[in-house]
Amino acid sequence: MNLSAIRELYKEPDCSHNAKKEADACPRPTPGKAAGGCSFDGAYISLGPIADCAHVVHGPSGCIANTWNNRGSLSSGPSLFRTAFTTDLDNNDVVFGGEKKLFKAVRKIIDKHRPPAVFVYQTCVTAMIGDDIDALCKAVSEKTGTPVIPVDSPGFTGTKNFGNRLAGDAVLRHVIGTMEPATPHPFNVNLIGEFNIAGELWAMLPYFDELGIRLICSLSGDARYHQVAMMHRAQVNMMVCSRALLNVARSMKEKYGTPYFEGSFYGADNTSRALIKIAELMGDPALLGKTKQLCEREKERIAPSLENLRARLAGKKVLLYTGGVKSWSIVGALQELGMTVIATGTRKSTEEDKERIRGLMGDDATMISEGNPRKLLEVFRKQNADILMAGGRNQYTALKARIPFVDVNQERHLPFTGFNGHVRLAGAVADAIENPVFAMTREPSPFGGI
Amino acid sequence: MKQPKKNVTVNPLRLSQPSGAALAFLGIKGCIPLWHGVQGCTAFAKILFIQHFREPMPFQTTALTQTSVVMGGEENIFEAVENIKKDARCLGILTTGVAETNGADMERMAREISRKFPGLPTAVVNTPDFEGTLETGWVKACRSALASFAKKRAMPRKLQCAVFAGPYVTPGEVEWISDAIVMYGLRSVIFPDLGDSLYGRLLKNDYYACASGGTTLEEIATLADSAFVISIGSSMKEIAGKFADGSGIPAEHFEHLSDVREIDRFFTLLGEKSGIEAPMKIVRQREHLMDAMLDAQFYFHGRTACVAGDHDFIKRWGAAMEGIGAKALRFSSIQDGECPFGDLENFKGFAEANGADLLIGNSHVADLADETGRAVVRAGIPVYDRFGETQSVRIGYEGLAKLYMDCANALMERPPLRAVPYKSTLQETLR
Repeated sequence: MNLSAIRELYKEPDCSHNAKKEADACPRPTPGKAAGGCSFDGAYISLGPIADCAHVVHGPSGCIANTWNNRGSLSSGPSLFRTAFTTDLDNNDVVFGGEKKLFKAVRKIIDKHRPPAVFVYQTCVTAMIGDDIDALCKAVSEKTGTPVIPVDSPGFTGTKNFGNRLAGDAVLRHVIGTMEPATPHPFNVNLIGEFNIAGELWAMLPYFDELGIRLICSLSGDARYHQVAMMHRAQVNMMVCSRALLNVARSMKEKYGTPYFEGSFYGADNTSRALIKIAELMGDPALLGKTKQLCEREKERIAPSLENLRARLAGKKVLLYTGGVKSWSIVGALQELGMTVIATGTRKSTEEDKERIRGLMGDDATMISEGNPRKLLEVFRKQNADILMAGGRNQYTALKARIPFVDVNQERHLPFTGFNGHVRLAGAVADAIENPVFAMTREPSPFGGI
Repeated sequence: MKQPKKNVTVNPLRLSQPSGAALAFLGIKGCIPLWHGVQGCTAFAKILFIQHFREPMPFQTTALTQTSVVMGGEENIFEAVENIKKDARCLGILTTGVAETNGADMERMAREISRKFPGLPTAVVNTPDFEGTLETGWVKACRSALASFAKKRAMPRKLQCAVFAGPYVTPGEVEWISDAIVMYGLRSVIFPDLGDSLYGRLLKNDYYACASGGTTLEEIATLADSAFVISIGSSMKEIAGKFADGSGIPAEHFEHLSDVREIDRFFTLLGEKSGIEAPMKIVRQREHLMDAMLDAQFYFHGRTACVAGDHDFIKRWGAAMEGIGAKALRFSSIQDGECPFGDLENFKGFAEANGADLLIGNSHVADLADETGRAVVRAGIPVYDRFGETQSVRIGYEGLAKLYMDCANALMERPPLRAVPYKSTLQETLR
């Protein structure tokens, strides 16, 4: 990808960082203070869950060998996406170029696995040695008849968030709009940024079926290639708990006129709001009525279990440290349970996210923009919190400090979406807070030491 | 807890009382457990323990027949003793259901044997298999062996600690307890010592007709000379307490060494008795346990563990599970206070009704877990479908950490934590 194309992507017009002309829109990572993944990471995790495709990383081993198949994105069918393919460059490849190797690799994969498509990810080294993956993908594609999609995502282009955008750009350019649904359906929706972690998509799908809303594609949890290719046929795009793929929603609005909104399936209220919003955007009063009924019914159904949990959780204080949209969507879910969120992390949140946080937590809401463990523990202790909810990276920060912890990021094991998910989330929080291990480990050892 | 009387037991959980007595006698070096019963009584228990311990079992039987049952069976005892006396340092004679139904008078038998076979110390015990369980048989045999083999306090041994261990302390754990005591510069006499006899070691002799290891008669004779008594497992509390009182020495009881508090108390006691500070190794192992518990506790949130077995067993595992925040439900092999009890058919229903995530018990319980798709950790007796149960150490800081890892791994492997895939019918219409 040339520099101007990258610049173009930096200028995501719907991103509020850009709207506010913030200097740190898609900020450059600070040497010595950076903690997140790179653009390649962001691109690979955005598209990697497309289950029936082969995902080939064109680069040296460090790009994928260390971390393959370690995320909780689940598939209901094919498992090819869990296989890590890489050209695993060596010295010679760096000197003489890796194109041939990549060409052979992709052909071999197509011969052996017959995937509907192959995604090829460019990395720093292959970009630096000048491998032209665009041309190469085109060539293999023509030769084999299988779509081969270049994802131009060298890590040095920026942050993980920017990598999400690079991935979005790749599907916009090469995939969306290339296939048509076999049968028409009146109501179609896409969930953009839903990764089916721990089966969270599956927790929502039965509701869509019940309402008669067809999910065309969840980008990209439990997705299939043809679903991505048909995304343009949805009447509504929902950006789920992540603005990372915002460029997909925005471009589709421009290109196909598909309206989009940001919503969340965390918490019963958020879930209801999101479902109702989808129905509203479909513009069908009957559907809207049906959706409202469903939400009422589900809320009533879970009310008794929530009541129990509320009694266990009332007044408990949470320190929430998670990215982007979750910084407000989970706040709402926790407040519904009678908990107080003493602070929330906003490292990856937009101005809009922060606005919503203020709406939920008041103007003096504590926002933590910097996620170093020392800072987190300091806030936790100062505010006398009961539990830290964050991503896996901070799990052991919490545990070493004998602090109850619930994982709300991609490594979590329980689906927290939807109505049942809300009960599950509440249960997980209550169980963590009440676990006797924390009190015990805080007591001094009879033999000195800890 | 009351349970309607069942006319048919389906897949028994309870092991027979004489098998527990025979096992206890195997913890005495040179002892031959002599089963007073039909040869089948012995053979079945022999197979059970051979499969579990992966060791030969030097059990003998009075081999009652139809005629000898009619005649009272006493001659069979004498004949058996006559035949095995050359191989045994001592005898442990235990009765079975058939001998008890026959009305065997074991007290008189004991007197007769000591008259007829002087120099062959013998303990007798009444263990009909129509009552009790492995654990009660173990306790009865221990009581009898103490009464028969122990001596009055004579020469106090300031550094000696007497340990009375219950049947669900594995041979590996017995060894661990001994090591721990030695680490504090003390000497332990463990009674009965299954660690020495059944840990599984290749010895010089290729055949042993009696227990190849265990507490020696000489050691048993010095039990009362110990500086203090430790009992482990609630089954041993009473006899250890009485023995200590009778000998005028202090006793400390541990229900188990499977939660942090009890282990803390154990090492604190050793520290007090020896005047030695906790070794760095212990301090570090405790630090590791704390860390391991914090790491593993996620897998126990809101999870229910059902433990099936004898009293000591369900107590120690129940405590371990509660220590890490799981809900622990204990299911006893016999009627026992407030605890639900029954056979494995009952246990299956119990586990289902309570939505058990993890089952803990012997290999039969493991089969049940497989059948119902639940996570399982094998422990107790018998474990015949895994190696290493005999040597396993799940007590102490290090052992408890291992226990939690095992349980967390078992829970991780089983589906309940994972979501069930949902296929949208509408989405199918895309293609």
